[in-house]
Amino acid sequence: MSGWAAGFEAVLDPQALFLILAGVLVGILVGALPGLSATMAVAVLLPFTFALEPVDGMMLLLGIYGGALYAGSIPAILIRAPGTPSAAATVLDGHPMSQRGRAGEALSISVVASAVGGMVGVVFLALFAPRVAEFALRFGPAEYFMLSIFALTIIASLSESAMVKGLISGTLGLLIAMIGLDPIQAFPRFAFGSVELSAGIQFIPILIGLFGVAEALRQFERLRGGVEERPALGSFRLGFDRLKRLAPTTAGSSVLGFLVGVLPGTGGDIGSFVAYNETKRFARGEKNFGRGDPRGVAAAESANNASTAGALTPTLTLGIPGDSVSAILIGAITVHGLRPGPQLFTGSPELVYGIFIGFFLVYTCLLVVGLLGIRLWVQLMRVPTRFLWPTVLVLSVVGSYALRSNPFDVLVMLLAAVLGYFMMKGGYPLAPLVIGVILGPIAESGFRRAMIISGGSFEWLLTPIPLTLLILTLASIALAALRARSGSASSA
Amino acid sequence: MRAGVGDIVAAALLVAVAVAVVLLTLDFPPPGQPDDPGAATFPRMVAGALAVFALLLLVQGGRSEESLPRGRALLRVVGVVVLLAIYAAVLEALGFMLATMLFLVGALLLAGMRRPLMLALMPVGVSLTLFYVFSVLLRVSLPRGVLERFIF
Repeated sequence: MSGWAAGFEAVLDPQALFLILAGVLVGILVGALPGLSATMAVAVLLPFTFALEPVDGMMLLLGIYGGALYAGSIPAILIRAPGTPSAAATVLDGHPMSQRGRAGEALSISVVASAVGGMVGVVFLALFAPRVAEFALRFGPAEYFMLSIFALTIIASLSESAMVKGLISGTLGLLIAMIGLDPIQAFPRFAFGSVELSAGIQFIPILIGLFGVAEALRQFERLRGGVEERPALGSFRLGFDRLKRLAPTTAGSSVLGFLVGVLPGTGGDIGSFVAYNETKRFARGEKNFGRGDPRGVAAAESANNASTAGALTPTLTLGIPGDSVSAILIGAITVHGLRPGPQLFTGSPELVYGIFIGFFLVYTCLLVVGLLGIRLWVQLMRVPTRFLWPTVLVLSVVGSYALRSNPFDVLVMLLAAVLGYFMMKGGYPLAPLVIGVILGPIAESGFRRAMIISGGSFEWLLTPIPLTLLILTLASIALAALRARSGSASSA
Repeated sequence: MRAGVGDIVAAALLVAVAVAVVLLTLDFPPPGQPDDPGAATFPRMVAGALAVFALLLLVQGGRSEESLPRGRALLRVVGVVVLLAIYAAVLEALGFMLATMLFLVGALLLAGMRRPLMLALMPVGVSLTLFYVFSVLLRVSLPRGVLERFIF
């Protein structure tokens, strides 16, 4: 219980509360602009947290993320352009609603469902995570090695029907992580005599390059202006009746979204599609789905936000990121010399419980601010975003440079951006690469320590937890291969 | 589904990376203690996996490739990368504000901004604001040049 007390003390402080509110506002602003995603917002605005206390920094980032995640549904509903990949499922029913002049209603449903989904997710997170952390204290090197492999294969196998490309992306991440001192002998690998390279590649410039600058390059290629025309909004009113009818969908999708999010390597985009499909399957009148059924919007948005909280479970308890944003949050935590994992729960309870409490407050804040300002957020879509990208680039340079006051890190960011640009062009998902960079040292030292402990034999693979993970890994590959085969058969 | 040109180029590059990694590991020291697989083993395993995936790419072929930009679009993308490289190179010599202003003028021009007033005001406003917020409010250190010493 003392963890909760420490958490409340850290969060119920004027500065932390202010940062939550500021984060939500900034997040909504950024998320509502077409082309600027929630992941990008968190990556590019990371430098604002360098000088803050860890808890305060997390409040700002969680606020930005929650706000941007919700606001991504605004362009999704109004102009069919999801402001964030995880709002893609929202488009399916949100946009048809908007074409029928019910955009206002869809937007209101989206706020309420996002907030409820987020809150349900956070409650589950707070209930589960401490248990998982306690269990994870028993994990040794073999468990961490297999967990890393499992996380990488599952994220790759779920990468929008491009498993091989996902696996390549993750493998490249592992290789990047090997530059610098090796975890056991401290031999400088792939350093070519350079002091900079021996120290290893910094994680934050890679993140900023991949998620901020690479996207900016794509935007410079296309140069889209603001959106001139806007559909009729209709009424924003949500009756009590309507809410009551949407309640079962929202509750079910929230729980489902959380469960999907808990799997290492899966986040909001997958969570919202799974929940959308299940809602459709079990709903009466499924014909309406895809034609502007409010239940579709509620399912997608609540699951989307709940799975974000779910993704924080492996992130906080094991140090294994659930998706690209939780990878960025790991980066933000390690900046302060802390390491996510089971020890974080005993070592920094104020941070862990502060995150639970703060994330709940983020969604409370989102509900109020989102509903109050709903007419205003819609206007944001008229901002000509192409003149914002140069500023995004400046923030990216600041974020890469400021961490160590080192221009080398800006160079790393630029290379990561060019790599990310080509990867996006070729249909390679970026998330596995980032997760690979985080998992590289965990996987390698796990593997080598496990071998040392077992005297050079592979018998550690046959102990219960690693064996289970091995079976799950093989199963996820087999499933993805099957799906790919049936997919190409039906499209042929 | 057949592999496209993009897949073939990518697969060749990835195999080359994998081979280079294995060659580089030949110089790594032997394990420091018995039963440790050593500094070279894990990179070799990962490089092997990369080569296998690269070959799978050839067999399976990819989907959802976007074509690379041409003409003006290509110039804009290359232009931004070059501007960023110059920005990084002169950041410490010129100081944050001056370097940022010059970069922003260039980047705004590339983005199609033609109004002289905005080309003057936006770079000044953005660089002043960011320097104030980071350096003064948040105490994140940014390189100081002539302008910073003069103003703050």
